Amino acid sequence: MFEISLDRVTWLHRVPAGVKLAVLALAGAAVFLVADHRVLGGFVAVALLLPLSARLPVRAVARQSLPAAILIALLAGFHVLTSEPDTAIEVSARLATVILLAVTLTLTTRVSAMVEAIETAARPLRLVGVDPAKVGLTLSLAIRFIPVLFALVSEIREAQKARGLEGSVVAVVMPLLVRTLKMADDLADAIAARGYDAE
Amino acid sequence: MTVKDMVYAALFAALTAALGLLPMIAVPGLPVPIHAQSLGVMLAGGVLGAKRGGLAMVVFLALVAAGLPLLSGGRGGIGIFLGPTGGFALGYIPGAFVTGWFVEKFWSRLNIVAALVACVIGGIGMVYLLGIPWLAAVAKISFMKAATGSLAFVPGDLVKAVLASLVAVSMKKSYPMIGRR
Amino acid sequence: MIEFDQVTMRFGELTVLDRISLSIAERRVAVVGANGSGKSTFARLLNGLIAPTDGHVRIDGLDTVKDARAVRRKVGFVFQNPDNQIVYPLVEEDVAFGLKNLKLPKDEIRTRVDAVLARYGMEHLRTRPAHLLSGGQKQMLAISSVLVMEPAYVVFDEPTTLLDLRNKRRVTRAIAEMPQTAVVVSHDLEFLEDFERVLVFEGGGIVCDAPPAVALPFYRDLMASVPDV
Repeated sequence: MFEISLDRVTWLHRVPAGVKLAVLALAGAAVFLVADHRVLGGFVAVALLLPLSARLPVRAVARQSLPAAILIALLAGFHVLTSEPDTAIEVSARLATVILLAVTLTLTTRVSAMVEAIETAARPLRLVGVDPAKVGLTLSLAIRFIPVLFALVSEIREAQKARGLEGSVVAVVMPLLVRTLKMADDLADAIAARGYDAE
Repeated sequence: MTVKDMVYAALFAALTAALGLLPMIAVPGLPVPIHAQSLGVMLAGGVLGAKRGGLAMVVFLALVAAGLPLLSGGRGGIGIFLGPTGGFALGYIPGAFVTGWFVEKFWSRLNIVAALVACVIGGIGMVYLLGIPWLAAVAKISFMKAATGSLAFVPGDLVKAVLASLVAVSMKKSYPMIGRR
Repeated sequence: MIEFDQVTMRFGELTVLDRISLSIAERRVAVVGANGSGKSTFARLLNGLIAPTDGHVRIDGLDTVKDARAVRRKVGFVFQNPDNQIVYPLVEEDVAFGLKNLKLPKDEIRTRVDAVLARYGMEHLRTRPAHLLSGGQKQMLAISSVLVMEPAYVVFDEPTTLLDLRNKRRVTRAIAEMPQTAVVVSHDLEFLEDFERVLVFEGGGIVCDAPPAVALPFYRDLMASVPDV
């Protein structure tokens, strides 16, 4: 569940996460600056070819882009109905490009590599007093908590079901909070006990 | 940032992810089903306060951007922020911060009404404040159209605000986090 | 050498430890007591996780409050629930965490991580996500992550409470074999029979301080005689 990047390794998998992020950011900006339909068509074509060249399974790409695709279709329909077919083409081409590129990035990059790229990208924040190493540690802590929380949510839901409280969000959330805050306090102690200095 | 800041922010980021797992609830009379995820926004602010709550949402969204499928329905990846609904997701950050800011203001006399005001202004107001113009700009539709389209989600968000306020008030009694070092 | 000098610990109105003085030079020391007797507080004072309300705790002459950083390096701490002390998502990252805090060079971190994983038969788990480990594996990971830092003392807070019989044996063997001084808080009396010294806590004080042959029967009688309130 936590590594949606797939096992097959191609040239695109080997490109550093930071480079892929930068390309995505540039392409995302560029695509909103052009209105020429031919150029937009070129963008869409490249965005369609990239996942193929990374040999990503079509099903995985489709599953990741489906929610966005539905929204794009709705928007395009809306613009056609309000008799702005040009806008319909522009909006759907832009969004399709950006979404496809982003899905390709996600499917060819390990989560740990992305976390590292985020830590690197956070370096300039040092100027405003944010320590990039702390950013990395906090993200790792959250990744560490997620499976624990997922398991607790299912466990508590079972217990509430047994007591006939299913569907009550408060009955799930309150015990979850009290248990996990205690865990967070312990974890903070454990981090200190292992010599971490937050200054 | 202290160790506690980091641990609590990470915890509420994970909690927001876990809430995305709860099944959508169809409420009779509401146009769209409610999903529990954006409850995490109001809970982060309402339980942790402004700074730690906002930080929790930064962490949650960073993980989504990193590609973890944590948004309800198993969505994830940086594409979320570039799409038409990206503003709503980014609005989680000021949403939790502002909720927390008001809860801290009302802290000494926090009751269900005060908590509700905080959740509505932060968890709903701030999220829509970013979400609607973003939707209008990216989808090239008028601001009014974007606003009317988003209106369908308001009743569900109000239900969540009530839930979050209940939790915030009972947490203050049983496990107060604001003012804790 | 661990020294407690007139140590009192209060949380608000509640006095958890009352003027404790003792020194420990033995290598295997056990701490037993009912829930709420002050034994966990005693353990947490040892590496400065909490500071005494009154008095001083010294480790090899270092004050746990004034020389907090040096004390943390000297005294490792293994908590009861491994889930609450594993910091990083992957096994090898978690083992490396304490070493990164010591600011060791990368090569040395790798060598030490390799050595400790090999020592406890966990090489095959090194890139495994920690949440997929069994309870026993998690506790061994928690112990490895502390021992890799090579502390001179290790405090264990009920290390076997959550484990099944086989993993209990694995953890007790690891503790028995390690060269460091171990202070172990436990309810697991069988495991404490080979220790050199047992401290029995009751009502915020030490009511018996003796070798296991004397202290364990004393503790059993105490638990049988005191009604549960």
